[in-house]
Amino acid sequence: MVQVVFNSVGKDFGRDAVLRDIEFEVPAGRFVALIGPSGCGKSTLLRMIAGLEHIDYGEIYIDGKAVNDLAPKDRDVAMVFQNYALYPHMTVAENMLFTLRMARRTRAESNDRMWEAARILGLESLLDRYPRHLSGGQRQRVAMGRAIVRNPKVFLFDEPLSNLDAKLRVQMRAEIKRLHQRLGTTMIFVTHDQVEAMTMAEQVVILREGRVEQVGTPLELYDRPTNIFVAGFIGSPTMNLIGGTFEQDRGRLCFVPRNGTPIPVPPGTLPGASKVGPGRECFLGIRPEHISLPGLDPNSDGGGSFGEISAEVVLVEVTGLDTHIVASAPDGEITILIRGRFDTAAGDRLSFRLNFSAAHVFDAETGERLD
Amino acid sequence: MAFSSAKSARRDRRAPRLKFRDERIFYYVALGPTAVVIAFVIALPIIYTFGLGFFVQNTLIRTWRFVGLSNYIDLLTDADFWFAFWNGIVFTVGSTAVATVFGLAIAILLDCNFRGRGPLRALVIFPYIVPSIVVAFIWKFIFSGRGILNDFLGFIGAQAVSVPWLGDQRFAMMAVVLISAWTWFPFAAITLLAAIQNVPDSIYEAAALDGAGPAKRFIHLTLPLLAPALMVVVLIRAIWAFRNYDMIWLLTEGGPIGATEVLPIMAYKEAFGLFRMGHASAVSVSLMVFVTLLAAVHFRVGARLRKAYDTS
Ligand SMILES: Nc1ncnc2c1ncn2[C@@H]1O[C@H](COP(=O)(O)OP(=O)(O)OP(=O)(O)O)[C@@H](O)[C@H]1O
Ligand SMILES: [Mg+2]
Repeated sequence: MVQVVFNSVGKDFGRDAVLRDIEFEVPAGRFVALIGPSGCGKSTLLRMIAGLEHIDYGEIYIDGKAVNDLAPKDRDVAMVFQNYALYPHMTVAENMLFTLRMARRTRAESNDRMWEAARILGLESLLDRYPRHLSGGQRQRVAMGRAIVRNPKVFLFDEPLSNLDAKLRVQMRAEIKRLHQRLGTTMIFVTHDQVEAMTMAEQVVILREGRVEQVGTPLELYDRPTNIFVAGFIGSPTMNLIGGTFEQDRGRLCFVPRNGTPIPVPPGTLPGASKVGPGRECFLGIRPEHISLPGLDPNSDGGGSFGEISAEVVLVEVTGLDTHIVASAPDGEITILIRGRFDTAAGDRLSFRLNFSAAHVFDAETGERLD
Repeated sequence: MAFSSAKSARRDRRAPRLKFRDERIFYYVALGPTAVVIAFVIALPIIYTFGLGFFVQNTLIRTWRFVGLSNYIDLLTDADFWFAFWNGIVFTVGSTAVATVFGLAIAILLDCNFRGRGPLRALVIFPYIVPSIVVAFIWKFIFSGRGILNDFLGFIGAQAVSVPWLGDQRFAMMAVVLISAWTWFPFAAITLLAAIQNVPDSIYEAAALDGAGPAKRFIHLTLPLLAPALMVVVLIRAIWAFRNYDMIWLLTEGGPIGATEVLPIMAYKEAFGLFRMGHASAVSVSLMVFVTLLAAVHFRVGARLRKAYDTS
């Protein structure tokens, strides 16, 4: 069953088109992340689902019903705001009971639901406190409690973790995910943090300048980005994009980086390369973990899907778990991610192996991935 | 070793104290002149007024006769005093209520998004900045027997009305209340607008999603969240109104037949009409007591509300 459907939804603020032709579906019970750079329209789209912004074009369906003309309270959605938007003059309990009071539930039922929500979120000991006496993480939980007492069809979250410190953010991430598993309710979660989207969501919708760039599972977006924008947005450190052309050199297909020497492309890799005409500008996209050092990679010797490149180390960053090497390639710099420790320093000249079977080709003009 | 460390500890303890003393001296020096000026221009007149209340004084031949509390006893048994007191209450409650309710309505209106909001906001200030003498002139003209109001009433009622609103014992107080509220609603509107805009929109949006319609949002969010600001507006206004003199004097001089006579006007008339300085100062002192009580309420309630409704 499908819970939320966007049918060529659009929005203008004054003369500027903020959202254009948004089309995707959110299956019931799914956890969806809306992700994109600042100002791309994520909040606006979420607020259109909630009924806080007018839907200028197209329709939004919730549970099979077009909600364009429904008031927020009739859409059966709950929203957790970035600043939590708790009622400052009400206690935690009153904050959660407010919606039930508005719905004229009986006192007994309201209290049951409120206690249930408090139990799920660990708020039992805070029920008499006012929001100003709560920490950021506690306010966050109250905001979620206020949403779950209603048992809505859809939960909307607008960057709920962005006001928390790094540690609490990781903790709340897990908590929200557990909440989703427990309640099984459809959740739409806005974030500009790709790590949040990747770790929490079952489906990611990536927006840029008011358009949907790609919809898919986190790994689909990671492994098969439809264009350069998605490739660059998802993943950290970001994918290396090496500009160049594909040429035939003595009967073999070679990738010729800008200002660089040709690298033979192993047969059977880079299916997109054959679609690029000779001399046409494109980008070779390769994630940092798909570049290795010959001696280190255990399965690099036998396979024939590697290309070699020699580059000078510019910067070495160690996280303890792994090592990031930034090296100067012919066309700008490339980042290499090595699992474990590796002893090298700026100035060293190393030979790197590019795993072509995990690389992508993007058209330089359209930005689309070719394969 | 032990000796020297004890000695240095003592010096350490003394050093900040000396510094503190220096600071205190600095405060006294800095505040001294101001305190002297305040004593002369505020404290002395107040003490003088208090003292005056215990004497019968003749300003013409400059004689003072101590009469103890008899000025106050005269006053408290004087029906005119209680009538003026009651008028003050009516004027205060009436004009405060009208100005606050109207100001709140305007503030809510100005908070909405619509074309021409900017100019309207500027326009709303207008009654507040017009000097009271001009306000009085305008409204006397409107409310006079053959004024615009009666023309208008005659027009819609198709029948001539010629009540001189400010000169009619039945309507004078009501007219004065409305005019005074008119001069003051902008203050309420601007103060409340600032308070309204202090409430994040997202709280209202959350309430809308929680199922509260506009009326419920007004009752459950706007009013309680504005309570501190409303309280400040009401009490400042009440204090101001209870001791207001100029507007009523300019409009009616307390008439007709005392219908709008309030304590400040009574004090003025006692002092400069009847030259009964003792009575006048007794009226002033009792007025001061009431106003001080109001101010005390203002500070108490204000502090408590600020604590309870801290939205940060
Ligand atoms: N009320 C408004 N009036 C005019 N323009 C608006 C309004 N709200 C948003 N916009 C514009 O719409 C665009 C999208 O805004 P939106 O808040 O949806 O972005 P976002 O993706 O949520 O960004 P962020 O990550 O910074 O929160 C922005 O360019 C913004 O300037
Ligand atoms: Mg946003």
